[in-house]
Amino acid sequence: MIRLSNVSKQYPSGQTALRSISFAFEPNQLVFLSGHSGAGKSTLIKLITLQEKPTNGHVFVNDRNLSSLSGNQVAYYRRTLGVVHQDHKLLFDRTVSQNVGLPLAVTNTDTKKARRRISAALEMVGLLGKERSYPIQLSGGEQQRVGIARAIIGRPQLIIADEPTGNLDKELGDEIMGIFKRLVQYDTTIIVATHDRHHYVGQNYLVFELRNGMLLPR
Amino acid sequence: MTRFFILHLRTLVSCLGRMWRARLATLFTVASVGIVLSLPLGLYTLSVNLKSATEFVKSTPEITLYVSKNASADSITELRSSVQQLPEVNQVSVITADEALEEFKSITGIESIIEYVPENPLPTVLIVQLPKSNSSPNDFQRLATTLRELELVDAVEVDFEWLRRFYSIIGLVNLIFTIVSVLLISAAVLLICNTTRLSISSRQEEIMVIDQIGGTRSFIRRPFVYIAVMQSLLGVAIATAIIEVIRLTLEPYVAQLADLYASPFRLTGLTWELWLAITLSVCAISWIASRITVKICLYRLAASKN
Repeated sequence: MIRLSNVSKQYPSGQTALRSISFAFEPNQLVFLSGHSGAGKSTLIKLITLQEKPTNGHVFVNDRNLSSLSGNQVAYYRRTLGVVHQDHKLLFDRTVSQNVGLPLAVTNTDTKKARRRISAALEMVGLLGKERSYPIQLSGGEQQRVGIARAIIGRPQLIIADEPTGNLDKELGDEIMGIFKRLVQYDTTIIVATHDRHHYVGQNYLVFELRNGMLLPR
Repeated sequence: MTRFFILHLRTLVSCLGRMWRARLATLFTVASVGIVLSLPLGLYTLSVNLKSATEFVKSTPEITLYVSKNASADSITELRSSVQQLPEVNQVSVITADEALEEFKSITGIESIIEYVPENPLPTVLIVQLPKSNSSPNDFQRLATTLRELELVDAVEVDFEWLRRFYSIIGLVNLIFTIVSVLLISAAVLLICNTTRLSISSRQEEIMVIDQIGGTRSFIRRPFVYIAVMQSLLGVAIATAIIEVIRLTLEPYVAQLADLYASPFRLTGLTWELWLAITLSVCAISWIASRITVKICLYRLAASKN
């Protein structure tokens, strides 16, 4: 489902973030991208979410070469993704419900249907009843769960989380990881970039480890 | 199709809500646009009223034909009817040589001297009155040439100078009004563009999030364009209200002044056709300008992100 072929990324400043990365994996599993800070995890995620384009090589998602997408095709591709950020990227002037429903507003989903799906997404992350709250009224863990609800509401085939537990303590981080582990059961592929090894060590997950922009052999 | 309308309706409602939530900022922007637009609208209304006022003031344009002294009474009558039949002519009156002499005597008071003149030196004159229309000096010139070619007409006199001066002044005033109007409408549009730019700047984070979750360029652009067009609409409404208030305030004083000159002139406001044309034009300009602004701002935003 996801395949990287000799992908390199060099920023205009001259910094090389990724060097000839190649890997592929099958869908419907939880995959970890591991590595120290600055190893290239976020850059790899930006390539998959099309926030950046590779300097060399190609990224394929569902056999589609992402380099060939342009204009509105990029927007339509992004609708098939769910992205969770370390800093949540919530809109603080909108309620929880409005934040979670944002991807449905973009696709002009019917109001009644949207309301049902917002409730279902919030229930899945354990925030039912907080629809009318504003993000500022929530704890860091709850804010991250709102971010996850927003990522899953569009029923994406691929969820990408960039350091989703980076700003949380261990207990809350485990809680968030628990949500991702549950989501895999719904035929979803989840890529989690994390520097925190305890989330996957000793468990049977696919892990790609990066060091200084290079993929370490498994 | 229904989805299309729902999408636009949702954007409209959301924009109205956004404008209402930021009502003080909206009020300032809309009031500024309204005041700026009221000036060209006011100038246009003034120009229409000036034109209307001069219609009442200016005398009927006339051309004087000096008839040959050899012309008989019958031929003068024939000449008069042939001139009268011309489509550009409103009325023709005749001042015979005798009548002209009598008038001359009564005006100058030199009857005793004229008695020594062997024969009446004055010719019969045809006064050709033209309709009070928007005819230009060129039209009068053309008619004068036609009349000059008629048999029995010795000379033609047209007072073109006052007409030329009048049309020059009107033309100059209209040109100044047009230049000032274009500048002021541009100022209003620039004001809206700047408000749009500031709005984009303050909503950068939201734009980034929407871009990331799959919002198309048109989805991101739409609310900004809607708000710009609505601000223009409200600006035109305020400008119209300002013009009407000024007109209603001045109306009794202008009527009083017109009555003193026995003129039926009354101040007129904007007609609804003109109002509609101005509203649509301003909205169309705002729509295009805000689209360009949003496009430039989003391009810069994307560039700064990278």
